[in-house]
Amino acid sequence: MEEPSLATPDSPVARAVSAITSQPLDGAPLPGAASGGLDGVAYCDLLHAGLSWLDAHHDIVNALNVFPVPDGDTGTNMLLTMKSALQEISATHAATVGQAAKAAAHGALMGARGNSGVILSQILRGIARSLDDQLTLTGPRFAAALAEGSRIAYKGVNRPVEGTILTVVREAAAAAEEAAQQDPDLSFVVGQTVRAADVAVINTPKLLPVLAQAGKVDSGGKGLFFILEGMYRALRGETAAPVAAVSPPAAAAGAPARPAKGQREIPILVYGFDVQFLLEGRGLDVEAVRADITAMGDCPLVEGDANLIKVHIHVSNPGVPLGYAIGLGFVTDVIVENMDDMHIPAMRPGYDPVPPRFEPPIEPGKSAPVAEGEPTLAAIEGPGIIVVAPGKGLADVFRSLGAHIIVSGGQTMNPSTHDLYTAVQKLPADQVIILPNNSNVVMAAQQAQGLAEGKTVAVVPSKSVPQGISALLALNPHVDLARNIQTMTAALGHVQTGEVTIAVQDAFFDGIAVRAGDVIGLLNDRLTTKGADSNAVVEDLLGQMGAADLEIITLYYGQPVAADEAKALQARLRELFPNQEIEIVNGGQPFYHYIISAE
Amino acid sequence: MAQVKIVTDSSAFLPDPGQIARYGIEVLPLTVRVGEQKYGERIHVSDEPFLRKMAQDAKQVSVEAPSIGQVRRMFERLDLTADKIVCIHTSAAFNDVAVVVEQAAKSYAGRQRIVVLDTATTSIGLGLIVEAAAKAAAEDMALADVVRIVRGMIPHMYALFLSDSLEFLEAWGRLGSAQTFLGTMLGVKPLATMEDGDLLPVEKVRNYQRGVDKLHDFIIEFSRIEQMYLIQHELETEAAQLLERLELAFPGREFPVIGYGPSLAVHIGPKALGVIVYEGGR
Repeated sequence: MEEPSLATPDSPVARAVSAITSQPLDGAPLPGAASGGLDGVAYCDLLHAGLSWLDAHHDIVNALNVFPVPDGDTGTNMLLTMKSALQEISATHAATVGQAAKAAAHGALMGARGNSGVILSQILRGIARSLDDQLTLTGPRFAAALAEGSRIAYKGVNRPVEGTILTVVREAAAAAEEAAQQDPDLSFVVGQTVRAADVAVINTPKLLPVLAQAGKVDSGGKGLFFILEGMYRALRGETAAPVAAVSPPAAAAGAPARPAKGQREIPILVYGFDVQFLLEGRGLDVEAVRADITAMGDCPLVEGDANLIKVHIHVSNPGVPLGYAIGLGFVTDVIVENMDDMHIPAMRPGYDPVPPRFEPPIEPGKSAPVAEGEPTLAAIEGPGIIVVAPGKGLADVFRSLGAHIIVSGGQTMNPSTHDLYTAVQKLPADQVIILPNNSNVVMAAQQAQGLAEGKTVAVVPSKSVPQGISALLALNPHVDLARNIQTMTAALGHVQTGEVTIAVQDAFFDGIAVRAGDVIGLLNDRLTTKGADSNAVVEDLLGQMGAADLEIITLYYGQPVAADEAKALQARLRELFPNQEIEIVNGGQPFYHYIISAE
Repeated sequence: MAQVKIVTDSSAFLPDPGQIARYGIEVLPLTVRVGEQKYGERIHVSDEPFLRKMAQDAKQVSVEAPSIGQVRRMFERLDLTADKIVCIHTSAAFNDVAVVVEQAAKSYAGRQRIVVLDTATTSIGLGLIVEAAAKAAAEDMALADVVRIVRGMIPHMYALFLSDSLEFLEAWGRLGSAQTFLGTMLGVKPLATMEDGDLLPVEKVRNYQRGVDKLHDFIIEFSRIEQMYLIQHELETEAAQLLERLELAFPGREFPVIGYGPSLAVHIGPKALGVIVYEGGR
């Protein structure tokens, strides 16, 4: 039995491509072949390949964090953003590439986490705008779409910084446009794009001194490179599974290892299984098989003739399509991949293991459905306040100061645009203020602000918990929103922030050599000290803050610190700084021994 | 025909204490309770033992309205000399005295003309209004004219207080105890403004320096200030800083600093700095 399309390809995209561009199974042109290029289903698989490749390398991307602090990792954030994009395509059954791109853009927008995730979602939005009513993806269309993606991404940033993902997407898009002029072949264009992206990533330290200082390339740019490379590999029919790490991890030592199967927490089944197989038989009814398979799940691809049918489908139970096919004929080349196992990145303890789920779209004008058992929020005097806070103690502090909804996360797991958008919709208030309390959450908050309908939403760009508290104290429920935003934003500068944590990787920064595991201190987001233990680092930081001239010093102690330890430190600091008020509060944040507020 | 008689209560602070005797102003003492002990509040006395006791245990102290019998006895006494009385009192949100006086006045409806006015302010704000009313009465103005003067001043009186602790906001039932507990731990100092007679928490600050900034910003926004007093207890340094900064905005102007007694202390606490502004009639 001849297996026409199985000689090389082993990825769904390659099959689709080979089905379209090389020998059709029955000699007749298949959908998409007439105009040439990839249709919506194939585009979905192409993005899927990009996602899988990023997944295989996201530890490398995470290890590129410039600061050796446990914060929202770029690789993880981009991965979760891409997953959200894929999930949305799967749910929409897009036939054309324009529809698929639109779905991907919407999914990415909602699932965007961290600044690099937000920029990635903006790139996908530009791509969707460009592909709008296109049926298929070709080389020139890919180039034009990426150029629009670059344009939108630049527009979405207040002050674009070169040497970041922005530079990489711009130069990749330029290379794509040039390549498309030479040869319209999609695979060629994407290949040139990947090459340019690679060079652009390598050059990022030349453009951004902070990278050169840390001896690293830009993480967001690298993440984008992996997505593009994964797509290119799929177009060439190469397996999406990692053969070997293509580039050596920049700081593999600090990258967390994946928990071994059998010794980890079982991931929750959200995406289900990617099932692919060939069905051989005599007198097979392709239309009937397609209709039956399509009804079983998402991302269906059913092509072939009366003798051989190729099937691709995403389902929650692989037994269903397989059992069905076995009843019809001889089933071969079965590939079943658990997409949840594939996608869920290895997360450090403290991460929320549940990936973003999509709730039914909220109709404009209606408030979001309130989950059962969740108390309905009482009417609000003045603007509704949403804050992002890591840890229960800090959530209590914010609540006591008048916050209405606490979105957990911030320091480590960055909340998505969707998380914040849902909170906005849920609040029974016409005016809403969001305090992101982390520089890596500010952009997602601004996206949520742009999405809100029928409400006035403002973001006060607080970059730390102490800044958020300072801003919230300045809120006056009796004056208008514009006035509040003004005074709250001004209040951000009234407080200094110190943070004490453990370095997650080796680094050399501002003259301080840090090894993974060292206790380090950050003053206003800059690494300024390291020490033998957290107490010594706290004292250093207070010295750097000029604590002797300040009035109030508050230490929010986190999970690594016991209450007794914090009390002992308080007593010691009261001796060192007799004229200052020294307060300790159980913040409950993960990873960070202390968050210090000084004013 | 006898002059209009002016009545107020002990929460008033008159710019010149001698005016009470000079204009024959009748002052109703509010009832101060410390533990089991009760006594009448004395006007213009900050009552240090009370404030000390309050700083130790705020639950042990309170200030109540005079009893209706007490007010009736006052009207009986005034009946001999006055047939037109204007009673000018502290905000009802602070103390029920205006309500009690209103009730008591009903029994005298046939014999005396009594008008009871809630000024929606207190302390020197109330004192400035009482002073203006007393001067008008001394010039033999009719009762309606005295009332008009009082009503005309009320909307132009503003106040902002910086308090040491959220504890006293809790006492008015505006904050839950959990909030107060955390806020107190964080050293949160509330600012509260007077609006329609009510004291409303507005912003909060974590240090006095910032509180002084806020008071300063509040004051310099007035395009016109006819009279202004700072009210202070145990924040002398901050009051001096505020005055120093105000010298730049209002060169050559003097703003007196006064203390406060139990009736205001129960609302802003024993350690506070505030300002009462009379911007003047339009």
